[in-house]
Amino acid sequence: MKKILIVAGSLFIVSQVSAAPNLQGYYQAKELVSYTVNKIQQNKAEYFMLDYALKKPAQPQAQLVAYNDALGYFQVENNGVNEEQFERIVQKVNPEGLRDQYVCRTDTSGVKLAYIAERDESCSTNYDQKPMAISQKGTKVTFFRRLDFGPTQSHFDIQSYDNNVAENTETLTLNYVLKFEGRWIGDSVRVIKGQAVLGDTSTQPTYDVANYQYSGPRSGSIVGGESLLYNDVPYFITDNTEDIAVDNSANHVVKTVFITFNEMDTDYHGRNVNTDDAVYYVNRDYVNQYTLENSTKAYFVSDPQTFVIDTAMAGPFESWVSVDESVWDPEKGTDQVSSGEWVSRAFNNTHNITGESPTFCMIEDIAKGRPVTGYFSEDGKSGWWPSMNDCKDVGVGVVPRIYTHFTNSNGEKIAVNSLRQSAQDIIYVRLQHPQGEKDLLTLDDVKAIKSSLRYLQIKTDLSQRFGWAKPYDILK
Amino acid sequence: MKKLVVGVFLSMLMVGCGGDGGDSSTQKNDSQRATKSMQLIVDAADLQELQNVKYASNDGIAFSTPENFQK
Repeated sequence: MKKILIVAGSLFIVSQVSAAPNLQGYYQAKELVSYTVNKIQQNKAEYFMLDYALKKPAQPQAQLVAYNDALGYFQVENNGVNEEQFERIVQKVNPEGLRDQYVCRTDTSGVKLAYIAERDESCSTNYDQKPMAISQKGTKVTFFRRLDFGPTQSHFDIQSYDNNVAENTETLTLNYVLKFEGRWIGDSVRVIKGQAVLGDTSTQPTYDVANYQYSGPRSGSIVGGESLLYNDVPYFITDNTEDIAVDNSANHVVKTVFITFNEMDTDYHGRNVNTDDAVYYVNRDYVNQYTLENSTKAYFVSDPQTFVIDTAMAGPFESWVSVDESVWDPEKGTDQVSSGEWVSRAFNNTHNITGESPTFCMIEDIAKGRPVTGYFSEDGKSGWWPSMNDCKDVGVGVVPRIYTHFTNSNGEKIAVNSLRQSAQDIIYVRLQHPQGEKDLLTLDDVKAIKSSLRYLQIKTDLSQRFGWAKPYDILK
Repeated sequence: MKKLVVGVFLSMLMVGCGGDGGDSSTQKNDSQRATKSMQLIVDAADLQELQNVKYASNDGIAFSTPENFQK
């Protein structure tokens, strides 16, 4: 079945998938987690002087921290790291980090605090008026940035890194909070790295990732709500998908699912669910291991499932899975479709181009080096989704548009020819695992998720900041 | 390697802002500036250099992106 979609409509649906409108489920975790992990690496350069300042004793007035002292400490502690390369990175990330600086170092309730200050400045715990600060509580170090976009619009960008050697875990967090219409809203990411012993006695790192987003009630046509994304069990990654952890503390990633539980405060108009009230919009992503043509392993969602119901948890619901092709089956409620949705979902999420949503046929164009051609109605408002089996069969009155690049959700232009290998890979692997074979989400599943201890615990952990007087607090 | 997360989130605030008059452009401007400030500056080569650097405060070197989340 060919589909005509209203372009604005499809953007609206994408925007409802989660509070981060452009990425879906597992793929959203991928973006958030890799950002958080890389940001903690970048902070080594960005917060170089403040990190070193935490080693200094607290003083009532700003103290001068000499760059040469910080660098001397760096040299002693980092044998084997190229110092010139590190300085180059500090210069690139934070040019002010390469000179002597006045710093306030304060102790408060067992927490060490440091922030950039002026000469002779009296020190306090009022770091939140400063652009940049750092704190340390035990093994956890927390990074703070205040971004002022006007007298009343401050955003707070917080990360933390807990290196808990005693428990063999490392925990990274990211929090971004701001006030919107009098309420604190924002984003909270947590990545926990642990370890597990496998049956062959090897030790493997495990990962436990979660993302909570809070956007308050709807405001006009702005979607409100909250969402929690997490994996159901900590996971490890090995080439052998049959590996097991001897104490069952973690599963191979192909035996975990990534769940996104959204409460969306917006009108929802789907096939069965039509309501002006808030809905639960739940994703369950089954991840699988795929082998690329060059024999390397890659991971994609084999079964991206969705369930939608009014928050009253009663009445009509939708439950579907995104697949490349399906046959009409009234029992299962499936349509006959062949839009190549599995491929477009995997590809567009991987490259953060769900806003432009290249179709299967366009992705095939990319893979084969053909002109990348999308089709639209004459007024440009409706996109045409050809069947993946007959890309040339386009409707009457449909006009082609050639793409040389896409614009991703970060506003960056990506040349289509730079995506060729990825397009080839995704088309190559698409049938390595059955698509849509798993049982679809049911209302009972959704109720079980919502009342599960794991869901409740992670939500409590990640949402707690939004209940604080200062959700950006780095002294707790 | 430049990536942005929270700008994605902020863009949610923009959905449907078009008809709201002056606020929407202010909000959009903030969103764009936040987006810029959130972009990672380090590239893949820098990350490799940084990977073995220890934090002075807690002696940790943290870790790199899990294999299944690498692009």
